[in-house]
Amino acid sequence: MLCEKCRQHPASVSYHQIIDGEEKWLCLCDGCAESFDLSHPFTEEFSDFSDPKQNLFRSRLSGRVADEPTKKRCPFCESHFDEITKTGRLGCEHCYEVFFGELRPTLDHLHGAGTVHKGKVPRRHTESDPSDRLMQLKERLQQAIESQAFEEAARLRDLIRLLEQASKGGEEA
Amino acid sequence: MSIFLKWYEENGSEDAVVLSSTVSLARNLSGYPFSHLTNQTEREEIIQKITAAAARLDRLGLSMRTVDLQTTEDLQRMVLAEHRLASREFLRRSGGRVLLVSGDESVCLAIGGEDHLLISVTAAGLECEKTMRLAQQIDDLLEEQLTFAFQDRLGYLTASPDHLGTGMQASVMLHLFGMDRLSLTAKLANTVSKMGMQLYGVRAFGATHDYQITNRMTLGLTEEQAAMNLETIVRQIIDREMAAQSECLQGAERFEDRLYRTLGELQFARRLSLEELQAALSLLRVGICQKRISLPPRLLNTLAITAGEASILFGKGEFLSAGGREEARAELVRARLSEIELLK
Repeated sequence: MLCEKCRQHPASVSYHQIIDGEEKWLCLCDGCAESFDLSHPFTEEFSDFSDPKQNLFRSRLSGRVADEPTKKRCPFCESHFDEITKTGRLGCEHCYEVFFGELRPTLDHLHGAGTVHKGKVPRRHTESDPSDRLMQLKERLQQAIESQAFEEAARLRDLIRLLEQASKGGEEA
Repeated sequence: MSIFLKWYEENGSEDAVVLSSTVSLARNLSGYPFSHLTNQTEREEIIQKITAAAARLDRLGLSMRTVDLQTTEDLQRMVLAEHRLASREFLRRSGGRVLLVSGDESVCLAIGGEDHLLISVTAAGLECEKTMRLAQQIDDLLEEQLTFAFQDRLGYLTASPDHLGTGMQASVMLHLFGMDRLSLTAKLANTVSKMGMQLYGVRAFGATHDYQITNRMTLGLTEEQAAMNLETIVRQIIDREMAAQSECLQGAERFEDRLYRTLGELQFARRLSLEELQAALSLLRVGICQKRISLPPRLLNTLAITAGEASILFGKGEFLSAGGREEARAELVRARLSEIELLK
């Protein structure tokens, strides 16, 4: 697909904006995306009583247009990555792990490459090691099987599999 | 409803230029999909869990009133928006959305919006740190009972990746009359955007000279740092605004005359449109900044928030025509002004 601004170069970035509930889509090439002024706040649309999240925070490059559309789904909420780029919202907490590779360029763009959380940590948060988390999930899987909640169990099984793959991939890289 | 002094009826630091400071924390319950994918049962469970946990806030002396948007009429929603208790976006939809509001309207828990929970704390004047601390205390208390979605690397997990990390948004409302007059605000917006902040014009308080500045960075810095950064920048903006005002008013011999005529109008008018009131409040605010008139800024905040179209109607409890609302507004303004002593 060609860039919707210059109509010369192939589009590589999708720009998604929601203003007052109305969605706008733009697919741009790298050059146009660079020069596209995403931060100018003084348009009519922005001067309204605004929820900054509604108007501005989502007005970002919401995701690279994938070269090959991925068929992967989050086993917990069943979101597709395409749906995430379309709405600018992830489906659930697990999407961050499941689609971490796909999200990475956007996260780097939004927050700076390699930036990690430095703020508050919940007191009851114990997951310092990803393997702890896997253990917890495996326990939940066991409970689900025991209580014959098979749908839940299948989801958890897929999630564990994906997380294990992701952590292996991380080690290799 | 009025036994508490509302936040906007209190004094705040730097309140001649700064209207208010708000800190909000976005949180999601672990084990549920994010709001836009929840079904009705899940939405009800989320509301029930958060509401139950919020009972703990009485330890901070906060008693929360529940507003279920499902059973709230349009007019009341508009009042909530005018009082800035939730965004219009949040108030637009009704199903599965609940607001818990403290008596002084300074603390608000919005349940069922983009994120399961948005904890907001507002105070008059420049109070980023104070509001941030209270928001954290509320978060701590809720966390005793609730498990929020969190990951070591990405912090609090939010529906939109924009708020990952602290999930915290700190914002300050400013009255930038002088900088607006000298056409400096666009440049200012540009400058602050390079520091990870966003400045934009708002009409929440009515007058066109009102701006909001918000932190954009949520990942890679602590809540304290974000709040301090914002306060530091706002202090610099206040200095620039004061200088800009002085420049605007240089040689403006009739300014004081205009100021007192405006005050006289508010004291005696029998009809006031919202636009007239907003323009008058903006001018009086400059008068306060320039020490040409002695009025408490909290009075201006109170009028700006309580004299909106919906609030006037709601206060009267009956339908009023546009003319009727203008009369009711003038009456309210006269009553508020008569409560204070005009010193100069």
